Amino acid sequence: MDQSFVNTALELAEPGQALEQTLARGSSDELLSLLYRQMRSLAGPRQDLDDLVQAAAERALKALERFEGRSSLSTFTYGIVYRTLIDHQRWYRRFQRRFSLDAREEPEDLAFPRSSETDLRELERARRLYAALDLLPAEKRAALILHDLEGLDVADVAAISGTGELTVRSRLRDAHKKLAEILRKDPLFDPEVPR
Amino acid sequence: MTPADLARLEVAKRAYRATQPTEREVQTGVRRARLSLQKRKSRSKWWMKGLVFVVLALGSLAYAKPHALSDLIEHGAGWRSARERKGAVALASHREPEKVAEAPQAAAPSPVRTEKAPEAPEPPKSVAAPRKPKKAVAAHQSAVAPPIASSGPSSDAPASAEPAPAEDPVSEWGRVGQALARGDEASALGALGNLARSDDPRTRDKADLGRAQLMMAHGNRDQACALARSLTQRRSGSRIERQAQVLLKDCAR
Repeated sequence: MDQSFVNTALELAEPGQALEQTLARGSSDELLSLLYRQMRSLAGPRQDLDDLVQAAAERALKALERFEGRSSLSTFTYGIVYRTLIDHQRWYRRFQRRFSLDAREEPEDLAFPRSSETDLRELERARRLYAALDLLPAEKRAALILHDLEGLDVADVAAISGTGELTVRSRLRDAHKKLAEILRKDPLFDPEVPR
Repeated sequence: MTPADLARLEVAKRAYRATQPTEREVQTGVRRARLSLQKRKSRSKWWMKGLVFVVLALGSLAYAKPHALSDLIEHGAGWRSARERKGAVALASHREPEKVAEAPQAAAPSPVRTEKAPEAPEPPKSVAAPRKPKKAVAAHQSAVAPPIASSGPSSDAPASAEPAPAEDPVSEWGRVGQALARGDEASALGALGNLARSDDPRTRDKADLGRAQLMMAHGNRDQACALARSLTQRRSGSRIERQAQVLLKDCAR
């Protein structure tokens, strides 16, 4: 994929456009596709990704009536995906306090495309990146993914997370600091290592 | 962040972009989400919600008041059995007029019944004793206490309404009724004698009254009058006293 899927999603709707026009152009499948991609970017390749997408889709379908077109549809759905993920993580933390389960298995290999040795190295880097991101607090992790990895600007990130821009910048600063500490210890992320 | 950290972040971004989902993976996820949403809609029927509500209500009741459910079930079962009992009693009460016609024939061999026949409708119940042992309990109680019966059919109610004090007295009364039905006064007197030794004073008084009546019917007036006299002095209850006084009138003759 050459372009970030966010650009593709932005083509679905523009700010100020009425909901009917938005929905007329995009079917429910396109909406589900958008939600899937967004959840996949925020949550990463995990076993309960389908459940998270379903939960986000239910919320989105109910909340679409309230969409007034003040922001783009992707920002609107990103906000739903963000809140769904945060709520799920909070629930899971409470669940883990009461019940002890086996450690979650690592994502399956099939979750990442693999075709050559180069891809294997990138695959391993992606795995270690997601493992490092899992060590960050949920809000800071989301801010870093949205801003640095997805390329959204601070205003959009603030709209998605429902906070102010200063809060987003603060979260980004903390997330950068912690991620940098983790990546320094991993030789695979050394810039000198060939791709 | 230092330049080295920024470079590492760029490496991380590259790895991130290289592992983005393919179109095929996205469409697979969309299909799964669509199927899940459709399944969820079809399941939300009103009867499911009602069932969930009922289960939650019963569960909450069982949790808050563990005995409430069992009491509810027992009450329901008791109501049903009470209804069945009422039906059986109504059926039995319909059969009694038929037995009244049989009474004169069955009452002839028994001097007790002969004595009682003009006074009360009890003898039919004594005839019924072998067929219905439970009825004989109430029947005997009214047979050996004719003044109770003489006050009318309603008197049967108090006699039969009196609760059986214990298991032994009930069976003794049943033996009395059966003995009377067989015409075996000696056995009836024996059973009444056992009842006269009961711990319950009312049972004792009734047994003594029955003994007095039987003895009077046998011609043993002295003992019958002595028993009747003692009953009038015991303050054993207005009905038993009245019947004892009726006996005493015979003693005076």
